Amino acid sequence: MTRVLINGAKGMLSARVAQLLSQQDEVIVLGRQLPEAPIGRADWLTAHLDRHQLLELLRAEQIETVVHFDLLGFNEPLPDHETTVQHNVIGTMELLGACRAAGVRHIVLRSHGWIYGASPLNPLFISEEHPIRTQHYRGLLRTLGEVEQIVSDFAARHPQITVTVLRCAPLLNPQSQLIRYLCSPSPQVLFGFDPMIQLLHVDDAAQAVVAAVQQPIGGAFNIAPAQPMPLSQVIRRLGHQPVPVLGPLFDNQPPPGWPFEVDFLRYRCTIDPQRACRLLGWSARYDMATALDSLKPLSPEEERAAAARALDEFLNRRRRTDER
Amino acid sequence: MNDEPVDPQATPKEPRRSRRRRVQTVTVETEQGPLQAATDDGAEAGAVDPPQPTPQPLEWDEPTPARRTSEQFFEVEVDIRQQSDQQPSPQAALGHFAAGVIRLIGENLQRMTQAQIERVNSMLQGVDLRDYLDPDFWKGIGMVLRYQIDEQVNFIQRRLRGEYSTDPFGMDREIIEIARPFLTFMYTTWWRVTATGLEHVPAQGRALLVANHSGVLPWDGAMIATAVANEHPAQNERIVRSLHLHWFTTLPVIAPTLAALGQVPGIPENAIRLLEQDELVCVFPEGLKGVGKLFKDRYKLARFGRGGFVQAALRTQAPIIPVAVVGAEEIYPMLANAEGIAKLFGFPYFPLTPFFPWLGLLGVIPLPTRWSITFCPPIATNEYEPAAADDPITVLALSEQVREIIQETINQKLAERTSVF
Repeated sequence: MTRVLINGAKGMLSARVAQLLSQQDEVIVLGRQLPEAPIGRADWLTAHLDRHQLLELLRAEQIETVVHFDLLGFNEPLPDHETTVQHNVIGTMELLGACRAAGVRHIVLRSHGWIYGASPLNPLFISEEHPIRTQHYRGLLRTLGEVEQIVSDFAARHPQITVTVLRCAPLLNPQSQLIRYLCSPSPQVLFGFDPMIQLLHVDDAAQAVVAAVQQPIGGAFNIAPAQPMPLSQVIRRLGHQPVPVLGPLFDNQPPPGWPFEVDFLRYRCTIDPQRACRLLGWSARYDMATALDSLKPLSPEEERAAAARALDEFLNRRRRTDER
Repeated sequence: MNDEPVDPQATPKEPRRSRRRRVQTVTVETEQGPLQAATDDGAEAGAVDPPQPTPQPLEWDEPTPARRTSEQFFEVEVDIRQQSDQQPSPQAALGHFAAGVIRLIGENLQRMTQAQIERVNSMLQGVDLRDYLDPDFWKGIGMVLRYQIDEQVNFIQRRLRGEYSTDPFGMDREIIEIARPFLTFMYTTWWRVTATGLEHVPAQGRALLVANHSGVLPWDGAMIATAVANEHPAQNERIVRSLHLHWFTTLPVIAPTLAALGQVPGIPENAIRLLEQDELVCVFPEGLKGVGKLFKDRYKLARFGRGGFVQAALRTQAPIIPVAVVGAEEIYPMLANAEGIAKLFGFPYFPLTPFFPWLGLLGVIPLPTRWSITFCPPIATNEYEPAAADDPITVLALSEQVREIIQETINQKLAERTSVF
């Protein structure tokens, strides 16, 4: 049994991880608002703690592992640059400092699979040693590049603390900006380009975090489904047709609503999850087609079947708790 | 992909037919019991009287062919045309029209799967395809045409719903099937390629084809792939994964097309990954220096890069098969390289040929030279340790050896060649 603090309650991933981890570990969810989904037997604290209070919490609860999800930009559009840096970069530095002082043994950070940047010179599947290129980017990827730099410096200086970075492919989370863009009625794509992309089911991402918490190996891990899919096929599978536009070819401005650089509509940035398979024993259980189908609205028959399945599962669970 | 038994008669002489001939042998085996396959539409056609004797006796070995393949449709088309030439004019016009329709069905049939061909055959059960004055002929033909159109529409709708699959590198077999007739046309009719030594290409397992590069646009890669797909003795339609210049990845339309056809940007990691997955990989170590070669330098091999391809082969213990392509140098005789224009557009080179850019898009049509592609015996790499990939002496020596083999083969083929066209 490990004592785990999950920092950041926003988003489905945090709730799913809390739910899964609380089955065998002692879990506390710390966030500025209530968790969005059931968190199993985990406890929660809704507050905005400063660095001293954070240290006090870590010491009082004798936390061994910290999972850091509290980064802006994954679930919501980014506020202005100053707030983002304050929250993501300074917030991470404060957390690292508190962890060091409180004697935390393992830190797990969520990062992004597109941190390597999209470029025609990328190998088709990027492994973890590939350099991170986010300096000329804006928004989430830029601050994440900075955060990763800080975290890897910290890990190099404090060998007694294991630091794991999970570079997850974009999550298939209906609230995320990327998925909302792909699900919009006529998502714009670049004329003449159709890169392959990887999208990760939230459950797979949560399993990866749980595997990383339970096996403190350290280092960066790419977390993505092994088989990517062309962007246009993703949009079609979600039930819409991509609209090719010419404009971004000339002015390099991303089409409205696309939350990343325009390069990601042009070149692929697909990552190789082999290290996670080998060392963590993790692999995506949903292939992309199944994961995308889970986002589609259900037909009446499917809805009935799903309802029957859910009811069955629920009654079984109740019966098991009663027996206990 | 294709587990059908190989037809021993399918000699690689007529590449276009050899693929279809296998289909034919399968259909002949199941000649019995066509009625059970007849569906509601087919039953109607099947209920027709036994075929009446045709007005003119024709030299046709089988009285009523139970199963038809596209080849047979083409033969029927020729028959009808000959027959209608002897008829008075209104009937002759009808005859030519019927022949055209038969040809269309035959062409569509070439793109269809085995199950779909079966279904077309069940629809045409009992219809005499030569008797175009019979109403049953038109009934059967109409049904088949409607079915073929439905299938095309279904195919497009399925693509629009995104229900297809690609491999992790983006290769899409359905797109390859669409492109294949065009490439086969270029191969057999336009450039009349003779491919030799295909037995040196393994039917399974990894191997690295190393070829000379020429001809401004990478047609040589497409033709090597067509040679292996159409003429390989094992006939398992193996797809050659060529490594292309990564500059092509930056070009709209071209980038996704190359990816769908199974081509991969030329980066060492990609070559190693493909070879590890037991693919057949083709590289052009000359790279840019090869395709952008001037006409006066034709058939003089440029430097073979820095031996990166040898490293990939050594690391993955894949045999190296040198490939010599003769004929591709003359398809666009590049007289000069307009470097200023190239720099302006960000191109690696800008060719000036007798036809391009003066004739605009017409200048992009390659000259119909006669080609030969020679696959040389493989050079084994498993006698080296994988660590030999880090030894520059071994790498450069092997690279030089491959280059010499290709240059010698090219010289020999050039000596044998009597005419460029």
